[in-house]
Amino acid sequence: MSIEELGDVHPVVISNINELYLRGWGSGKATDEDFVAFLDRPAKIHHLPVPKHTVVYDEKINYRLESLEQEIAELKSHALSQQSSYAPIQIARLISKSLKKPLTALLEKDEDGFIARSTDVPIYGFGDDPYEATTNLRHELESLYFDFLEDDNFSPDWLDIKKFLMSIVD
Amino acid sequence: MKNSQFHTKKVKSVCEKKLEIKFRNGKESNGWFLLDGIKTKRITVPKGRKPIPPKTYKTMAGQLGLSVDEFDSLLECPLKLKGYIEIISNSS
Repeated sequence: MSIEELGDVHPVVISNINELYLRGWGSGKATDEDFVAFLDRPAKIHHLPVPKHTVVYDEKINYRLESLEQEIAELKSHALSQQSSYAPIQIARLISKSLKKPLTALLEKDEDGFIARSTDVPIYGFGDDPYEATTNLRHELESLYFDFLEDDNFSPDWLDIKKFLMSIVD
Repeated sequence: MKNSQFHTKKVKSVCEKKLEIKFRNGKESNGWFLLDGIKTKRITVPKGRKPIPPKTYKTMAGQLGLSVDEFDSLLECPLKLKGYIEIISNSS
């Protein structure tokens, strides 16, 4: 079972048995229940098929991490919205896909809204704030990627863009 | 530039009816214009903006390969599909 198939349960990956050893876990002979007790919080254990990989689902921490990430993104967005000019931003991942190398995007204020545009691919994201514009840009880039997966029925310009995008999406 | 006269819904509607673009509805609407059956232009239309901010308007025009004036004509009425195809064929 892959992490993605686990649905709403979001894993906190401890990474591997060696990391467990470093955390003072011990000989590796302890059971899953012992590890959950060690964490002293609600958790589930799932052993991935890959050897030496154990995934621990610590739901409270993961929920808190997601909340913190959201708060940081909103604070950054608010700080950016106070600016009149914007430095280029790097997009390291799309929505469900990561990138082998980041794409550069520029952010512009447009009256009450914002436009995020990629400098590498003629794609745009629009939003009421920088965070929304950038997120929508990532959605658009991923949508384009999936368009490219369907066939090669594109003009020569878009085929060049397809070649580029396919080479950097992981 | 007549951006203040239009809502993004109008842009989407014109693209669907005149240019026969089929939109995918996700976070924003996007779709392809087919020239001779080949995907040639791609447009993203943001949701819920009226009036359309000027840079957003220019961006949408550019995605279709049009100047702002040509985009005005497309949205108002004078520019039809045949005229649009002539414009983008001449520019490529």
